[in-house]
Amino acid sequence: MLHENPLMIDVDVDQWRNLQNMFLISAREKKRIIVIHENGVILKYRHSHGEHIVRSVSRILDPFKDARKIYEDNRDKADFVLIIERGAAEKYVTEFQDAWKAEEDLDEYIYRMYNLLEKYREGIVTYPGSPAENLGLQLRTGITYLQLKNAINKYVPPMTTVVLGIFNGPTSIFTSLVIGFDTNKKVRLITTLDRSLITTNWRIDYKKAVEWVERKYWKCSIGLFTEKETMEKVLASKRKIETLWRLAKKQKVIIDPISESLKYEFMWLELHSIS
Amino acid sequence: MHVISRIQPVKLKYSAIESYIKQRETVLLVEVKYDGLYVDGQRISIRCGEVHYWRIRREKWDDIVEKVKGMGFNAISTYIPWEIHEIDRGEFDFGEIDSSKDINEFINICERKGLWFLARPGPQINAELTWFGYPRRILEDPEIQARTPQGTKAILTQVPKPIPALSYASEKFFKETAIWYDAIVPILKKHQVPNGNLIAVQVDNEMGFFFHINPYTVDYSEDSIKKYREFLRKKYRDIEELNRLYRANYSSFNEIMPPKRFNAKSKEELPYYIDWIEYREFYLIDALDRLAKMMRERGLDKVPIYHNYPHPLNPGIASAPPTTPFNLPELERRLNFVGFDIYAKKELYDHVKTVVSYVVGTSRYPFIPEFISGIWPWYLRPGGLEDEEFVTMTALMHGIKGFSRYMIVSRNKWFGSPINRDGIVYEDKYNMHKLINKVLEECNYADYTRKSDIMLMINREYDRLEASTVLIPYPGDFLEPIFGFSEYPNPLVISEDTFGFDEPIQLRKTTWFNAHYKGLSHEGYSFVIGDTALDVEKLLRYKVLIITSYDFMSRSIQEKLIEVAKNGNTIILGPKIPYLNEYFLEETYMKDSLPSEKTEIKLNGETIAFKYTIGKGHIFHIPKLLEEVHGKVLDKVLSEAYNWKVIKNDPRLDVTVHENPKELNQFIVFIANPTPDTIEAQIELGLGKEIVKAVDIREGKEIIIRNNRLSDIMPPYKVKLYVVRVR
Repeated sequence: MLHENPLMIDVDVDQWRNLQNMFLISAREKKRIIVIHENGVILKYRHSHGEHIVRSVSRILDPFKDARKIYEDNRDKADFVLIIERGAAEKYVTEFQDAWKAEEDLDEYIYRMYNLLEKYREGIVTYPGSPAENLGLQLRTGITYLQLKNAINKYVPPMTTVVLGIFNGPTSIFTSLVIGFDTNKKVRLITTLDRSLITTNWRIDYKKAVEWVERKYWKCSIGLFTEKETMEKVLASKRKIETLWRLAKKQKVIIDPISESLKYEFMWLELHSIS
Repeated sequence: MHVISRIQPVKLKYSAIESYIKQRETVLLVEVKYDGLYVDGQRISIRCGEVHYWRIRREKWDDIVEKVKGMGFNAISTYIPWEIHEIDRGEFDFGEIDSSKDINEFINICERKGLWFLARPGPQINAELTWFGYPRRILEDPEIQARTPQGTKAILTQVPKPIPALSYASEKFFKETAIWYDAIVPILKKHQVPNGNLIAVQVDNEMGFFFHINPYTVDYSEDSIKKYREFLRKKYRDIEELNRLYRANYSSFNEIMPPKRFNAKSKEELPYYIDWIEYREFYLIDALDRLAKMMRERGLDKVPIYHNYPHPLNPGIASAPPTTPFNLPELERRLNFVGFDIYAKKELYDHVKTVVSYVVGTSRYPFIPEFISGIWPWYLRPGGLEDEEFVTMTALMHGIKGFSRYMIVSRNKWFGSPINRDGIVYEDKYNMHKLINKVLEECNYADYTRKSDIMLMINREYDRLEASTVLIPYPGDFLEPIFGFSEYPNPLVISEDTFGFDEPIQLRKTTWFNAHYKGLSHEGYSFVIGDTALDVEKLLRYKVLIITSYDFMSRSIQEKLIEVAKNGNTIILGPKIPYLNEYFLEETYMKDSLPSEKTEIKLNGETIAFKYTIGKGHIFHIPKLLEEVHGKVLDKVLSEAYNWKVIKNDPRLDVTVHENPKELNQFIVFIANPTPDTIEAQIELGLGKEIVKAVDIREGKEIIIRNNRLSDIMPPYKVKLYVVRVR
């Protein structure tokens, strides 16, 4: 999905920081209890931030049960528990790295890295939640990578841009993202909106933003504009398209322009709602 | 006393190397000194900005370079990417096809504007390029790829493409690099001073196994294993000597395989693992030295060659300064100077202080080759302008003497610099750089040196022990390491085994270092950070050395410390006086050198240290860490041998004083407030002189002097610079 040399230009640093804060969760920033063991013998039992913890497990016999017990005994001290068996970690990192190919896109490489955790589910364990849901940098979109990829394939025509604008009041851009796709739906452009485009009210000025993107880059197929609070609701919802459709009907979200396939999806939802 | 035979460190024949470097330096037309680079006896204090010519339209070059100069920068640096210039193997475009690749003309423009030039031709440059600066064919070549312990590829997750780590032990790698150097060096060499303005060349970039700092990740390629065996052969000379010290039974060096994971259970097993860590330092030094020689042989023989060690991917998480696999003192025996890159935010004051204090304490020219300006896209939670300003002032406060702002012009995959690729100026950032450069010029910052008589030393042998005990491997990752650990050895991933000692030294050495660091800072003592790899001559410049010492310490370090003390300096060590060497065999040189008479030092009636007089100096032994009051313990001990510190009304403030031997009645004083709170500062400089006047030079405002104290309001996350007149 990510092209081998995307253009990443004119990104507003404040918007970029806000975008990260809204969409990314870092496991490294969370409080964790780390246990490293070898055939059950515990070699490391430590809190990521050096806090005192209850060490109620003396040997790893069942990593799933043990992770749960460690978490429950230190519930107020940790966001999750990570139990790693040395041999499993060694095999895991070897396997995901060795399958590298220059052609593979970054997102596919990372997806493979996370997907492979399932194969080592006995050796790399987290609680609560699975390692693939806990570790590394997580997307806070409420959907999986494959769902996101499928949505792009389904709703975004090739050679178009998608514009996301999230606002903190009538004229203040909280964050924005302009993503340009090429003929193969690879991401070739990543940038943010120019703040000076929004002068009166984003509900009116969003059109200027779309025009600006089309003038500066290329045709916009989907423009999605909303307030920060509303975006939080979208992120929390399980059925994104349906949520967007409902919010658009209430004019909480403006989707303009809208791609034919997304329009079709909304029409279907409209028809379904009266059936 | 049992003295074992002496092992030859593979840092190899230092005297021969020093002699070679000195010989080589005599032909350089640019002299490297602590306060700058000298051309024809004239000092150049490098205030540099990085500009990527190939990412800017040719017609914009002149305007952009002029604007960089307008901010008060006196030099331009640039990467020169092999990846971009090579059309086909051995075929290059230097502007003949694409005018934005005309590096020669870009340098001409800088020269015409009177700017100095620093060239960075790689081969590795990163530069946020897809293939890290190499042609793709290099990365895909199995003969050039580094290998994991299992013989598989080792991948750095970077954006926009993950790439394999390369082997800098691979013979083919050097052959391929020669093709690139044959093309680029002839262009650069004609710009060397005095014919042009090229004053320094950087060899490679942030070379640290492609961020595979974890010791059990790479490099297990065939060429690297050969090099490892050669390293052991040079160090031990005789397999029987190695067998004796390893408690092993190898029949030849060719039989030895490097450790693939850490498995030691006792201290006697440790030397095998620790040698792998030392080898990894040697690997980097040797490769960089070889690349530098290749540049010299092709004609870059008049200017210094330098290198930039990387900043940590997760700054602030790693404890203490980044040492192994880096070895700045040792690399400076091969290259002309070496620095560390700094990218940080305001909350990371101690990280910046630590790295800068280490470079200032160890390098012959404290230079930051990449110093944050703007952000790279995959820096999580990037800071803003106030972060840049704070980090800049912090680095100056702690004594850097030169820097290059990366990037001074934003471009594809870099945001937030003062100028963009079209020449548009962002005034807030532009003015910040302009003001800082102006202030440095106006207060003659380059003439001043940070006043600091105390060196807090890292003990490289303990850092190597720490690195050797890492329990699990994990590769470098620009986004976030999958397990969430810093790439540097740290308490979350190292063994907790005591190996037969009273405590796990690999863990406790950091506790001691941090206690010294905090205690000195709290009590108002100014210190730099040093390294046991430094020569005695350098150590002798400091009146007080503070070092953590446990059961073991090599004879050579014990000798260095005793020599320094005998010369009239002070050593503070503890908790133990070593009685073993680095092979965990009896070595009592230090114990035997100490007199039987000692004086107890007491604090509140409790014995906190013992004082030994040795030659003209002293050794203080602190046997126990009293963490809560360690600052007071250090203060008491230091009061026996040393008499300068600043008095602060709030210990959260930090202060440095910079002095100029030609201006005895004027000092530059920095006060830092590294907290989110406003603090009313009252600072007594302790110089034994009356303060006549103090001016906050950035604000152009004279501040109040009360009872010979500087008084000022310090806003959150602020460093202020004062010119202080005394009599």
